[in-house]
Amino acid sequence: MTATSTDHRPDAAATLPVGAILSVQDVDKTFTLHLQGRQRIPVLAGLTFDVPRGSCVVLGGESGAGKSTVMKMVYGSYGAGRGRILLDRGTAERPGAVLDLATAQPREVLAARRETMGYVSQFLRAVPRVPALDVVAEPLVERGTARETAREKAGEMLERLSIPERLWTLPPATFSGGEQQRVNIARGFLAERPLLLLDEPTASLDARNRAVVIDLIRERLDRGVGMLAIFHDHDVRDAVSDAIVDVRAFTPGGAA
Amino acid sequence: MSGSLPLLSVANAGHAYGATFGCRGVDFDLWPGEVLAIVGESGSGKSTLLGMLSQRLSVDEGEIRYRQGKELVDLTALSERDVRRLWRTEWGFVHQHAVDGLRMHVSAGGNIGEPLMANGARHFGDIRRQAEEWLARVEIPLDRIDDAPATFSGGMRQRLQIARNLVFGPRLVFMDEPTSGLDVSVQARLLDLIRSLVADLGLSVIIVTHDLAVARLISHRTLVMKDGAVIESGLTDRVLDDPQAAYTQLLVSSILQG
Repeated sequence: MTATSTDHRPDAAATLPVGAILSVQDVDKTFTLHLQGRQRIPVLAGLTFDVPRGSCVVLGGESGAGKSTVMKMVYGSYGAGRGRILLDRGTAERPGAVLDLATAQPREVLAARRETMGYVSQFLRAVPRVPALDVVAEPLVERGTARETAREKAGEMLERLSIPERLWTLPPATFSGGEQQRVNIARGFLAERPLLLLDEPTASLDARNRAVVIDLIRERLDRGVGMLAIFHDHDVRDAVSDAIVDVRAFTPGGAA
Repeated sequence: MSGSLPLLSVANAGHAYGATFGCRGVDFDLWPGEVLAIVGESGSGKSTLLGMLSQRLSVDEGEIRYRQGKELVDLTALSERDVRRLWRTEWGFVHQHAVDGLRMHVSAGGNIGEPLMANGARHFGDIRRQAEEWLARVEIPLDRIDDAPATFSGGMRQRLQIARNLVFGPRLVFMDEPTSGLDVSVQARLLDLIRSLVADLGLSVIIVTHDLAVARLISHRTLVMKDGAVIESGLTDRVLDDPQAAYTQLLVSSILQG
């Protein structure tokens, strides 16, 4: 009884809508809690939406509606019970390549994270001793950028987010919540990936830094990056959202 | 991507102690640059699996193939001499107890230089220079180069063992609970070191651990073992954040949240 899915669907390419970087189609998610008498908790049913390139799609619904679950399924930290999560993996070398994240192999998901989708979460999962500059530069280094070049770019990004230079060589674990979040944002935005997942990236920022993040988001959108976002903050949401997907519409037995 | 080969390919493999299998029905591929964690409680078969993968225990069922050049060869078909060559040039093994992986009464420099000499290095100055380089990489003060590891702390011994295993540029490194038994702060430092070395050198690693936090910090993929079988496998963050098997849910729910 192995719980890995090995099913691979080569026909996925046929159904990714034109212009979409991501297409979520008829996805269900049910948690089975074996420790609570195998209780089954259906969280999402029939979840369907697209993220067009250059657009910011915001997930709406009160907390507990399943917004973070959606994010985690797209990123691959949660499995999807049914349906398709199609990601455009097309490049000059492999035009038209599409990956179904719902059935992808672990190393395909890892490659997609490296090259195609970035995740900016609310909290930095800090590695104990790595300096902030390297935390931010890491995604570029992973993609083959020379370490020195990556560090230079990381420094520019940290500067933009007003992290003082004296902090760059320190591990972010010791930073304040707001500083950690900005390090996280710098890391997520530095490597230019075609899809960005933003999970409340501005939750603990002051007005000035919020404005910087809004600028960053707009710049990336102009360059065609697609975004799927959860924003607590109405100002930020109103400033950048192109469409809102109300997750409650896909909550089984909820207010449809 | 599709044209490349895994480094190690395991199909339905098992090892038997007499009539009972210590591990059985194991299937996975390991790709270059990947870190695979094998987790489970003691007695789950994870050390048996590691022993079988590293050719210390026999493959009694199924097969294990390893990439040599452009093809996968059956490991059990290799001669003892070929296996020794793999240990000298391509494989490393970091033991839980440094005593099992180091020569305790040979100097630190000698411990690092020995694998180089086994690979044909003869120039003393070069060997010494490389030993110094590796001591620096694993954060052991240079002035300890002539001291024997018997005089080192637990964390330092473990870092030296890592240097000894990586100095000759292996492709695949097996690690058996490399951080357990160390103080928490020493553990974090060692994990961090392993993590950065593995990334810089592009190593493939198979690490056995009972500690899910270790798996989360350094592995890409995780196999969960129970009663000699792999009961769940996948991306490490998926196995830990959305565990499917009842036993994995129990393991994950037993972690203290920090």
